[in-house]
Amino acid sequence: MSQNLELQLSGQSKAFVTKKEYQEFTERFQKEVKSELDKQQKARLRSEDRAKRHLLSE
Amino acid sequence: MITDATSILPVLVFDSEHTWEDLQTLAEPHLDNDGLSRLKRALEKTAETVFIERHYIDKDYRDTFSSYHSKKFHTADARCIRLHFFNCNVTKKILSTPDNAKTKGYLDHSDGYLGYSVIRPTRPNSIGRTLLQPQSRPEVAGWLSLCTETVTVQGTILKVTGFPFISQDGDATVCAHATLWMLMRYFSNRYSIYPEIYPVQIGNLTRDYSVGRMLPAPGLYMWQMAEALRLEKFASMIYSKREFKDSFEHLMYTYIESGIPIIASFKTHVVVLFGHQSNYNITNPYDSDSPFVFSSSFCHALVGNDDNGVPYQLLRMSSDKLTENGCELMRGSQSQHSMSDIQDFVVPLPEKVFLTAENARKLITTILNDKIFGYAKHSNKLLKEKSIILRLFLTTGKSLKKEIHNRKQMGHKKVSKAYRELPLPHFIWVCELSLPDLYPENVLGEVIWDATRNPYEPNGFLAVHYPEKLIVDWGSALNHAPSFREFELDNSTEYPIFEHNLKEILQ
Repeated sequence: MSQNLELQLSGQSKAFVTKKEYQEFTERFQKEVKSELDKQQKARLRSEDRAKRHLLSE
Repeated sequence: MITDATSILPVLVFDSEHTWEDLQTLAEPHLDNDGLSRLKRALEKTAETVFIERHYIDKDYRDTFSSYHSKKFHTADARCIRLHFFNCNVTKKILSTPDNAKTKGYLDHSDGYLGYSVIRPTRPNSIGRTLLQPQSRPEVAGWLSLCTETVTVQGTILKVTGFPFISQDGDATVCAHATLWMLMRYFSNRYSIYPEIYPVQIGNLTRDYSVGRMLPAPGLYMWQMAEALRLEKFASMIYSKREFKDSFEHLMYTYIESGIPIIASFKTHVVVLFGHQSNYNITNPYDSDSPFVFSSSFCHALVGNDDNGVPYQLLRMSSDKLTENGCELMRGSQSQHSMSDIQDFVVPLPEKVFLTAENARKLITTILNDKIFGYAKHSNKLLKEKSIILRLFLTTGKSLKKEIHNRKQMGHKKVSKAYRELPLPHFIWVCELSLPDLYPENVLGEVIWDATRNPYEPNGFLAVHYPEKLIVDWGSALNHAPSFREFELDNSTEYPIFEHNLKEILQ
């Protein structure tokens, strides 16, 4: 599916960001979220570990 | 009044001479004191007529009977009794020639049907498979995940919508099996992709991950419950309160708001949670440095089923945040539970949801604060507000599109048209944007994020919709490199919140 399709909307769409702006955005975004996402991943792994010792029987 | 007391289908109408104690007589020997007490607590405010269907063969009890109870020297009855509850006076004649059944083909809650409860000959817990309308408990209000079942009584079709309930029998099943059963039966009733599964089959799902005998059931570890769900096509995730201290309650709420019931564990007990009650008049969520207030801040209780209790109990956020309304609260052996007693929870995510709720929260708030895509650049209306309410939930692209016409074209015809045309993944995270004076009825925009994306990818958002601007990543939608389109929105309006995931039950 390589056709050059376009969103059919009345009113024009503008090219929104330049290549350079987008590059800056991706770097800024990744830097902003990485430490928190890493922390979340470790917390999930530790949660799984805790669940191995949690017996439910009542 | 009691009709045909010695028949296969006696009918009890509560009146000055006939009470719940007569129900126990009619349903003996299966219905014990504890079972009667539970039914009475659940239904005494609404039930007026009970049909007692004797010699009922129940598929779930037959499963445990065949694998376990039949092997005992003192053998329980192989058959059950099924009770059907109505909130009005219904006779056998009305049931067999109902006017509504002629036109609709069935009777349902609008005809007074409140649901059914199977009574097993098991001790100490006789309440088997049960499905009651939440309206059978008038004190239960809120937003709930519900499924529908069709049953027949002497040829008449009855429809009931609720959340499945079953109590453990204490032998072949304990709380962990009962809770998994309730959750899985909800999914198999609602989505054809999930197969119907029976109590002993649930225990057997953990056969390769167990030590020692399977029956009598010794209990399950939390990770075994997650594994049982994985074997039934769910991508289950485990969250421990110790590891997610600050966001634990928000995460539970977010999954429930997404229409995904969760399994929540206390110290040695486990329950299923599938709804929430919120109070939008509290002011303290706004006393924060961040402009973002998540809708989870308004939640004061979750609604769930505890197999040791009755259907639709409340689990309070904390002991000081709920006005008493007569609804039964979840209890431990010593005292009432609150959400602070939950130690961990398992969420049975659909297979194609790769992005978790905590990932989505971080990614979406980062986009909203971004200097190119954020609201400060594109929305004066939001920028001048002290607080912006964010409602985060998971849904399908199909559901979002189906609801567009019910939601005032998403505030602007360009947004409606763009969303209808935009190819969407099966599952999406949606974060609605609203303001204190509009919420919970209306919103002003949303961020749509591809739930199949890797969280470390920055370009997972498919659309960012502010009151004045719509930004669409048309490139990603076509499976190409990101290519953003920006549309000005003149005179856009607020529009209703997305309501497809849960059903609102009013008091």
